[in-house]
Amino acid sequence: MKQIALFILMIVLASPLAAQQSVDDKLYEALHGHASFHAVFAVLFIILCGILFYLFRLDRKVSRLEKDLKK
Amino acid sequence: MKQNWWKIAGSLLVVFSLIAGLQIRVKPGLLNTVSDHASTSEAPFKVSISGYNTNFSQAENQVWLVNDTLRKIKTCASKITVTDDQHIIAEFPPVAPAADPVFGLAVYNSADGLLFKPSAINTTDTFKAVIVQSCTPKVDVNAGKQFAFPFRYVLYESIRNLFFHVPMWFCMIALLTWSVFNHIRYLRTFNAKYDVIADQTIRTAILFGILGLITGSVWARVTWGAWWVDDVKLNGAAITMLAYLAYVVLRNSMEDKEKRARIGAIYSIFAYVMMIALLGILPRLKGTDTLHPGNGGNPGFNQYDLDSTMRPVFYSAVAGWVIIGLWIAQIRTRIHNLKEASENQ
Repeated sequence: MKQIALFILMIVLASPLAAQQSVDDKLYEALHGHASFHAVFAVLFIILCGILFYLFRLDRKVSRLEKDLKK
Repeated sequence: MKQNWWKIAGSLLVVFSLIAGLQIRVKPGLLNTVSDHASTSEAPFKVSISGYNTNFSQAENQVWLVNDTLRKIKTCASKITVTDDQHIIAEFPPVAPAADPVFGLAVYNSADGLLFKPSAINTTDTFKAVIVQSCTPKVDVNAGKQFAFPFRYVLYESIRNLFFHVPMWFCMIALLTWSVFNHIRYLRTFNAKYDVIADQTIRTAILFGILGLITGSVWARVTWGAWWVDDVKLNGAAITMLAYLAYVVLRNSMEDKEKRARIGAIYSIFAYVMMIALLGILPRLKGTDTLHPGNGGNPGFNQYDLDSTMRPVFYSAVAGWVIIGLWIAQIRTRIHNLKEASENQ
């Protein structure tokens, strides 16, 4: 549970950064080429978050299993 | 280590596709073309051109307009002023449209090759006595060839998402194929081992399906302008996900293990056939309108859809993600088996 809370906190902290980027399109274009690069970052971010979330869930399953085995 | 080689191979393929997919440049192209006159035939006019990834200042430029469908009558710029690598101003003599009131604009230099914007300048003029200003620019077809991703309007840099969004679906379909194969094996042998593999694989496939839906939604917002558009493939993907979520609910709702496995296996086979119809057949039927490439009677990937520079990156991304999906499914299966063993003790 603690891990999931930490994970959600991580996303909440990261989201203002993502919002900031869409405001400063011009600056962003100068740094990274075209503004459509946002979509690439967003997609990578989602895939990474999804896989990590899944790993956390698997991790929890294993921990529960370990607990059961100890008993 | 020896039995883990495929996991390492899969990881390396995904890492390769990430690095190559983000590092390789997009080919040069023309972003904006703005004319200072609404009419093109009354007086000479200036067009400000902004390019993307272009090298205007590094070689001599030629700029011309085309209007006819065959792009044969060319109107060359009388004066070209290069501001920097991305900006150029071209002056044209008066020219009237021969057909539609839309001109295509081409820029050529030996560093970038031939760049073309199909509907670059609109004119208020209608067809009248054609003022022909024909010229023949010297173009080397092989100029500007470089290992880079194609420049596409609407997509621009987001063309890279092909390596991240599309493999999610390929991975889901591969995992579902593996699971239906195991479900058939289960129905032939009634060996619970196959049922566990198939069930855990479906649960992993749902992860990739959901990731595919969300990433697709984000990409659609940037390119098509909406989070969700009315598209056969999108709706088909959503129905597929619902069908497989229903599988999970159905299976979890039954207590008896054998009954659960049998009904689950039969449901899974039907869901799989439906998935193939919804994602593979319906979007390809003639008359269906879809925004996805390679549909409406065309083969999935043709030369136009998948550039030869994108092919190696795309295929390694697909292979890598499929392996990672199978890996996750295998871990899930192992956890499930351990759980069963501990419960039986």
